[in-house]
Amino acid sequence: MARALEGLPPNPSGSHRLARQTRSVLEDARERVAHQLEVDPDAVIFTSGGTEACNLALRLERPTKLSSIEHVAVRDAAGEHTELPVTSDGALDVPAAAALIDEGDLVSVMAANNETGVLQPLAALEGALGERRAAVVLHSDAVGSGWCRPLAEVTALCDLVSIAAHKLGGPAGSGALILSGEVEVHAMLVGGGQEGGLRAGTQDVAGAVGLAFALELAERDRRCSAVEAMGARRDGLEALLADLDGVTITSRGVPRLESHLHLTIDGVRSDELLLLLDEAGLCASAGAACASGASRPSRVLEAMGVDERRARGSLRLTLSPETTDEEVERAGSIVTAALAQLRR
Amino acid sequence: MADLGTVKVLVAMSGGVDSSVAASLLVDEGHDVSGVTLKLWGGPSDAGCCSVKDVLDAARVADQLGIDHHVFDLTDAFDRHVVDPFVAGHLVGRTPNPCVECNRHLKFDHLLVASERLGFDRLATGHHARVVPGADAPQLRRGRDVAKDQSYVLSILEGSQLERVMLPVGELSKAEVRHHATERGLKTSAKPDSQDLCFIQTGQGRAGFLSARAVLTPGSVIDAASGETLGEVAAVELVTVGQRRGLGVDAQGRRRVAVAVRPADAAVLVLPQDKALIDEVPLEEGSATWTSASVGEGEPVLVQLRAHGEVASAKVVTRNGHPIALLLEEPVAPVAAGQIAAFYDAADPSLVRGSAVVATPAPSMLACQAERA
Repeated sequence: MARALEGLPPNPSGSHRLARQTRSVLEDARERVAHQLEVDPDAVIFTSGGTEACNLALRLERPTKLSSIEHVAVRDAAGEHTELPVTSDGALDVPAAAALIDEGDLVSVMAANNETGVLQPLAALEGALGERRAAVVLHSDAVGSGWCRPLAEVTALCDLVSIAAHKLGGPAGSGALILSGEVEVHAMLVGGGQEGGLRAGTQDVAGAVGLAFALELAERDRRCSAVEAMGARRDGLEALLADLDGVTITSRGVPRLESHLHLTIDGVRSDELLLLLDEAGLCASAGAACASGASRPSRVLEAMGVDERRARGSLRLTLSPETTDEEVERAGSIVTAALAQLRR
Repeated sequence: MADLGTVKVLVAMSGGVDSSVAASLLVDEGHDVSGVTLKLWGGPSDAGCCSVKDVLDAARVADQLGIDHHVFDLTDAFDRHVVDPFVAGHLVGRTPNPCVECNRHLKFDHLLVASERLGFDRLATGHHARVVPGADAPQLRRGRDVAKDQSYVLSILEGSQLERVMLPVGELSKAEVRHHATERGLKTSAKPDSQDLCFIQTGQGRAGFLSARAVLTPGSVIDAASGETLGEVAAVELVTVGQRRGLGVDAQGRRRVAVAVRPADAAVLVLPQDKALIDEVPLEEGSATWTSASVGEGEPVLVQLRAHGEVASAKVVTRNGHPIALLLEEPVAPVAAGQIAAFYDAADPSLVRGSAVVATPAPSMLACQAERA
């Protein structure tokens, strides 16, 4: 990222030669992102991250319908909305959702859930909508799924797709909204006309380059089977933890991101488990946290019908393609020991 | 404090200056310290959604001290043990003390038990009170800073709990606490002390909080002696026994005081201030807690009936070994059921002996009071 801008001014909007060179770096990045997502470069609107992309996407003046497991960035950006139900497996209940969707609606269904990792059936939804599809604006928050799920699959199915670099190992503060269809998106930031008038403000060129790199590296990881290998490591860890007393693996056997392992533990509180894992050097989360860092009963688990007591003992472990067998083995021992201590 | 050697301590850090300094003092003493902030209230509060600001302040102080910091979400337990009984109590004319119940059920039960399970030797808080070694067992004493003393809200601690509790700031005055925080550059050094209940917003008050959760009863203000109706109140549940505000004055210009609050009868009974004094305080049987030896029948104690109230001399009346009433040497203003009576040693006034919950007076007790009036 730093090398791409070496010797260049940060602002790509000037008329002089150096600014033109910076603009060229930005537009190269846009083309690389577009290439990965199999869309036209003009469809790529760079943003400050996934939250901004979701906000930009969801401020359409249309009746809004969201899956009941959307990220808070989508829920809050959407404002008043109708919820589309999920099954106890954590996947969109396609027939029930399709029955609730009308022509003219803005619909948002994430590509994969950020807590459980469950891949959402966007293709099935499109099929179920049939002829109504053309009259619906479909947004997908794909922020959490880029490593495992080819994002071109998502952009092919949706009119609007939000992505972010940091979930792919890229820089935080860089993302994009992909505008595949003819959608009347309204700018939130004005005053400069950048990004086709949809996102004013001097572009973060280094961030855009970081996003392009991150997408390319994710594609490489999928091609060279690193993602598959990550899934196999996850499955190994899952098998080990599934045998522990009181542990239930969430959405086991359901198509999920290979990076995600989510479980609930009966009679254990996430907060206490996380303290022990943290002390032992394992970075994990309960799945949902508020800005204070407090884990909270997950709306996702609630939507899936998991009872609150069990939801209070939830744990999400995530792997990256760089996670090693040794690290996975250590994680297994740390969780096993922590649960033994909490049950003593 | 006695030399404990180095122990593993979990410090409850509220994001205020007292608990920040508690953590800092323990770090200075060489202990293995971790901080935890409790998220207690899930609804709106002055500090913003789930008091993010307080949690982040605590986390920043932990960074400054170089210690780990964790956040525990205890909103479910707080609702169950503090908020729900607070609402339910008001609906039957009681006024529970949420701070005491939070200490009893959350900090010194849930968190204390959890801290042991998590491998900590001690739990510390930033309360202005002291745990000092006694002949056989640790004692709970008033904080050095009399004006800031919080031993009242800790009087519910029992001996077995005291053995695992550290209260480092109890040895300091508030000025010394601020000085320590300023010297260390702790983020919370100039943060104002919290004043009100953490779950009630300033603009909303107790009235707004309760009316959002229950249907409140408009009622009559009745002279407890004559039975005469003197006026109206918008909500009986919002009147507290001992309250003068809003109840007017009698023909002689004496302020009226609520002596009984009866939502079921839509009535607040009042007496003139000088006639409302009580010399007997009923206690809920079985509610007493003891820091060490229990107080026996007829034993003199000093009793404090409000968080920053005066201390009165009293004797304990028991039934089957359980305190059921306090006989006061000098009469005091009436006290609401649900509040705490904290017992201090008659011969050693800084020593906390225990506590009990104030009960609703029997009708006969009130009739007697009204007759005297």
